[in-house]
Amino acid sequence: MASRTKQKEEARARRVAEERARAERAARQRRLRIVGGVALIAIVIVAVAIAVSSSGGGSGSASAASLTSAAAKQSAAQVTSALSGIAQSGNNSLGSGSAKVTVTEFGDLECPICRDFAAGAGSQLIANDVRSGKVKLIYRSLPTATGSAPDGATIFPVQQAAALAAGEQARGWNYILTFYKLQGQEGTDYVNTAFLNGIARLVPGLDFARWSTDRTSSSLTQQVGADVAAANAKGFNSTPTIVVQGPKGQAQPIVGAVDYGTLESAINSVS
Amino acid sequence: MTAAAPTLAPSVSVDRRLRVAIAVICLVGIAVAGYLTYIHYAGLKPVCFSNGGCETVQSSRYAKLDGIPVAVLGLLGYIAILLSLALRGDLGRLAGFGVALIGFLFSVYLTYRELFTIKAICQWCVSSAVLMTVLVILTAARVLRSEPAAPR
Repeated sequence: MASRTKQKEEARARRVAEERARAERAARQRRLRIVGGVALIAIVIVAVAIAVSSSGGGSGSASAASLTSAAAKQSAAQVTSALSGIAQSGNNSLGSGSAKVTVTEFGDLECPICRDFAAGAGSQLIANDVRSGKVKLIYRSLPTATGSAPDGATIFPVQQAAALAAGEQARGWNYILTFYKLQGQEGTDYVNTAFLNGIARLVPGLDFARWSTDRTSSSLTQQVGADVAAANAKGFNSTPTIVVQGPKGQAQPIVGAVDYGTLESAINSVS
Repeated sequence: MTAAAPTLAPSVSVDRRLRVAIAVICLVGIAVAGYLTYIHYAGLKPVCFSNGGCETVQSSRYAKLDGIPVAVLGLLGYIAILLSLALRGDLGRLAGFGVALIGFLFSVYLTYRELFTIKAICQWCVSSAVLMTVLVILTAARVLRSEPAAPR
């Protein structure tokens, strides 16, 4: 009797132990699956993030070839939407002709600080003050960063005139802002005919044949020269130099990638 | 059943120690990422010991993910891991591990970009990558340590 009870108890204990072991194994497996699932989700999220990071818009290391990429098209599309519905005139002016305040940017298309200004305070200026008709934005040329490129002296008037040629079709600011967004490495000779053509092809609605003819016209090259002379006469030597002019006169020229607040207070001081 | 108590006790205290370590590292991470986020939005240059490397890295296209500065993403990550410590049980442990793993893998990618694409190193980014690496180890340890899930 005693041994039978004992046997029964032993069998029960074995059963319980087995069940526990099985439950533990199942729990561990379930857990492993959950941990694996979490890891998988993490990997997928990072993979997506890397894909976005590798292809995402923004200033890539440009070469003419990269201007046909999806990222370049995305950059151009961002410019198009930022400028849509804003009038362009006189080959370098953005905004209403009757705007009270005129903001003139002396810039160099290869200058990274000009790019930063365009991406920051410049884009806010366009979105707020230019769009509302309060400010008219004018682009003029002053060589700075391009001077550090091996072909700087020869390419500067050519690239700046390319923007003005787009301006002849009221698309100058599209060209300028797209160029800024897709700038290459400062101090290299990435700007060439293929690069300038590539930017032009990214500007929606531009008559490419007409632009090609216009950009070599001597009047535009002379205009660039006149801008440089004017900047030199005023003693400007870095880009962007921003001149704010309004009914109450002219504010102290602003230099560098300033924040929007600085720009605003200058605008308010003259309007 | 009484045997469960002594085996549970050390594992609880280990978990506690891991939580404290994770919290401390998260706070350091928040300080680093917070500094970089502040620098980014204030338009300042970071204090840099690597000869302009930080600026190069911070102004590169890889410093932003679809327009969001990676410093902000890092800051959110550290905060999320810290908050996950407040969640009881497995959910908190797994959430912490998941976020840390995302942070770690993305840090690996960014470090790769620093070394091979941008060819500049920023000690702030490197220190964040190291912190994330430690965090993924600690949060993984928390997940594995808690095994088997003691029914409560």
